[in-house]
Amino acid sequence: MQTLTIEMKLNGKACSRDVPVGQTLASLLREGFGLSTSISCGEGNCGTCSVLIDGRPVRSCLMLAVQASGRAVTTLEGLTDQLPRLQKAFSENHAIQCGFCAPGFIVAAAALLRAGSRPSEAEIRETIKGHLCRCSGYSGMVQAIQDAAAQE
Amino acid sequence: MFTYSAPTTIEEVLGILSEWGPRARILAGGQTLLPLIQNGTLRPEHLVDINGVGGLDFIDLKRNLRIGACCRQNDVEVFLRANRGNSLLSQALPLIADHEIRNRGTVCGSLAAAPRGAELPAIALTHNANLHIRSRRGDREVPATSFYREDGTVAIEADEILTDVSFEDDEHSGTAIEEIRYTQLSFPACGAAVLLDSQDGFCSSLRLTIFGQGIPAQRMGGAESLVKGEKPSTQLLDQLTNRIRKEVRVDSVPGIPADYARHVAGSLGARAFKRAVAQSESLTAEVH
Repeated sequence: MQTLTIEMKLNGKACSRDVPVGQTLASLLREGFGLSTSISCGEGNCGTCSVLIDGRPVRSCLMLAVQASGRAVTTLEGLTDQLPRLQKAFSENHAIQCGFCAPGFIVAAAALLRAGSRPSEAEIRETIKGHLCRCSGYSGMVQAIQDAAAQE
Repeated sequence: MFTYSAPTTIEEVLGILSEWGPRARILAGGQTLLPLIQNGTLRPEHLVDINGVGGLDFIDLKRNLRIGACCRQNDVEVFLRANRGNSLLSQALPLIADHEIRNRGTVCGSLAAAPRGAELPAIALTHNANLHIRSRRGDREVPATSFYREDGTVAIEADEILTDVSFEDDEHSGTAIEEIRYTQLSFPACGAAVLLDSQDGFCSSLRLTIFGQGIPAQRMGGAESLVKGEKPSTQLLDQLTNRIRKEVRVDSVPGIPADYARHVAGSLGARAFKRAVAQSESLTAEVH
């Protein structure tokens, strides 16, 4: 299989990898770098694999790893600014049960908070509408994101 | 598994498409293409990534709105919110999947791939947008009404690329899109898009498109003629609803029976029309 060398900034650090052209970014992050990015549907329907590309949230299963070349990729681990208050708020609101979907939700929430907003409940629900939580912890998550925004 | 190339000029892209023909696929946003590859529906032998090609990522609003092949749906949405908040396209973009998908997905990609139920081909049809298509054989401008065939396929050859699309300005028209969907991220079961022009209290022109998972995006010519020159009224709305139900071509798909889709098409078409009427300043008649 054809491989290409990519160079990207991953969670703030420059790195270089040889990747097969058919590998998704989600697979590279989880299997290649051992990061928390979860992989579930693989077709963009569940939002567990969301990461930031140049600061914008995207589904990493719907992007080839080679397309991350020259980009800044941020996973849950790289959200240094927002992670502490989001972790605290998610914990306090019992927003997570099994935790499988958490990396995607937290990345989406961090992108929303980074936009510098005090989002309304409707805006939060719009932001997380493409993310599935099979433990159905949605109400707790909405409250957690509101609490985290209020701590800014 | 496919091979991959990332050319930097449009001429290289055209060369690759001419060489590989139907065995190649263009990768722009990838939000339609990659799921089809992941689930095995498509097995291309080569992907040509156009994201590094200069001059394809642009939005330009002069007389018309022009959008280049690499322009993301979210960028167009933000641009229109600031410049043309009431346009039909501005109303349709936020309905597509969610903003993470729209951060990657391109307007032209959705227009060219035209998956059943997608909003953008329906908007292009309503506007009769102009699609600019290139290949080594030459350039051509195709109106959306020719590009989208009755069976839901698109008139683009394997060696061609949709480089940009242009939409007429609809600032002074009444516009509305309505749809019904089963889940947040699924394509709508049925939808209706309307562009209405009026003069002195009468409808001077209606453009109405029905689309959905079992419905190839199609203009409702009969319903459009019915309304032309008429004053909006409750009776006209009823006639419009019935005309759409009679006229629309629907395929049965799992979970969406054809009769149901036809019924909903009429209701959504009328609802969109009613909202477009409310937006048109010259239409003073009340529609209840």
